Amino acid sequence: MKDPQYGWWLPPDVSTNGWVVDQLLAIIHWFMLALFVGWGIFIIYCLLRFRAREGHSAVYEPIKAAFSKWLEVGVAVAEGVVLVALAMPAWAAIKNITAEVPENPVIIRAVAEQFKWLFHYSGKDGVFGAIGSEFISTDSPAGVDPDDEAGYDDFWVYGLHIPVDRPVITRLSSKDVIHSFKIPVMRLTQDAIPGLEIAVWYQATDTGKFQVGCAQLCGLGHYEMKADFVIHSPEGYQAWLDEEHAALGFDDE
Amino acid sequence: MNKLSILVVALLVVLLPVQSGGQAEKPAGTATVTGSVKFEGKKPRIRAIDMSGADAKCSEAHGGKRLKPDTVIINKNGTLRNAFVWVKSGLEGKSFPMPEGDAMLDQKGCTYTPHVQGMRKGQSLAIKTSDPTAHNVHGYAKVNRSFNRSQPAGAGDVSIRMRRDESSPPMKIKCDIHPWMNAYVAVVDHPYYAVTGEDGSFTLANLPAGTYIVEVWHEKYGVMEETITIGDGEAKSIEFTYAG
Repeated sequence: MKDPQYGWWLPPDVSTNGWVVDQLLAIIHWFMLALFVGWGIFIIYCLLRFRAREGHSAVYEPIKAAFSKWLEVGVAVAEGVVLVALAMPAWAAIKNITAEVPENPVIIRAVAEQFKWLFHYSGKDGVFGAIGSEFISTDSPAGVDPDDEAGYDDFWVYGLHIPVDRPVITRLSSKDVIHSFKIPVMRLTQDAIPGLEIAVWYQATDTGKFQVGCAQLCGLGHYEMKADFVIHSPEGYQAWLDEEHAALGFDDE
Repeated sequence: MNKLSILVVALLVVLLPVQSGGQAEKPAGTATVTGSVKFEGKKPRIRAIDMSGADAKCSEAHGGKRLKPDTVIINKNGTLRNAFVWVKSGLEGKSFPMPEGDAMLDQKGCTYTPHVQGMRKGQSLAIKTSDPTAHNVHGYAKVNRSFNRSQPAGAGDVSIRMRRDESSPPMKIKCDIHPWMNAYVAVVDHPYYAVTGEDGSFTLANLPAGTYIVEVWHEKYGVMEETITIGDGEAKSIEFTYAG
């Protein structure tokens, strides 16, 4: 089990896709550092080289030389190229991450509301009950039709539990405003939008207990919008599912 | 007369009837309506709440155990708990002495206690927090002014004065931080209301003689009403039955 260590550096990465994001972050930051240092040196050089001194006064009109004009255009073009060159791999990475979902995924619904995440599992039969906003009530906060037999064994919890080494699809939706589903250790951020169901997938590489947050300011209690994120071993996950099923207490009926 | 004496006289005129009303503490009537709220049919599937994923401090308050919500509680004798019974009409134009103090709503173990209660119009609702975690009490009032207050651990009571009748349906109060927390408060203009408890019974005592509509409300099963005519010193019984 890894302990969450949210220090000065990035949180631990326990996802199969996380390295792509980390790599992009590293490239962008090193590149920014190079630009910052390069331009910093240039500015300091200019400050010293063209300072006001005896026999040398500052010039306030733009320089009209052809060379500096082309230089400026050149810098602008180069920066444009760099921008695209950086954006392309980022875009490609996002496309790759979200493209094909591996086989045998676990499917979990995540329902956002001010100010908590609710996670809806399909239960033993693996089938979700019918969903509709008209079914949302105190005893059906995930909006499951109470009369749909497929939903009898569904359960909903306030913590996200997943198995390690197995792809997980999370279908995001929101009851009220735009929220953003954020799992730092999965390097995952995706808006949850009312009226839409947006699916994301991810896969954990290690077990542990972490946190899900909300990355979109959603109201007064935004800071309280968090949930446990527990990555189980395959056996541990099955045991947790069984425990949740038993807790329904419907088998006694 | 100068302005001050006019004011004093005006104050006396306003205050005296209230004073005399306060002195005469005799009940407004001698009739009694009793009854019970029964439940028949299929029990709903109510899932217990595991608070641990959302707020460890909440689940610690229950020793890590799951908590059955107060939404539908069917008592051992087949009656329904947390149903609100009140005299809906027949008391118009009458005034009754106000109870002393505030109506109380406590936040303990990340649930509201009591789950359903009645209070008098003009009374204040004091919302207390006994939890080591933050709450945000949000009153979805339709008639009264709605409210939405943050209440960190150890904060003082939030006091809300209810200025209007709001009992059909009662107002819903919810915690925005812990979505499973909800309570209902009915604001009534007279003292003839009750909430069914562990035996599902209710008593509306000291009613004046008259013809009344008695209404029962339950958060899941809605409202029912019954008309009853009762004379001085009489005791009558009403039985409400909800079907699952």
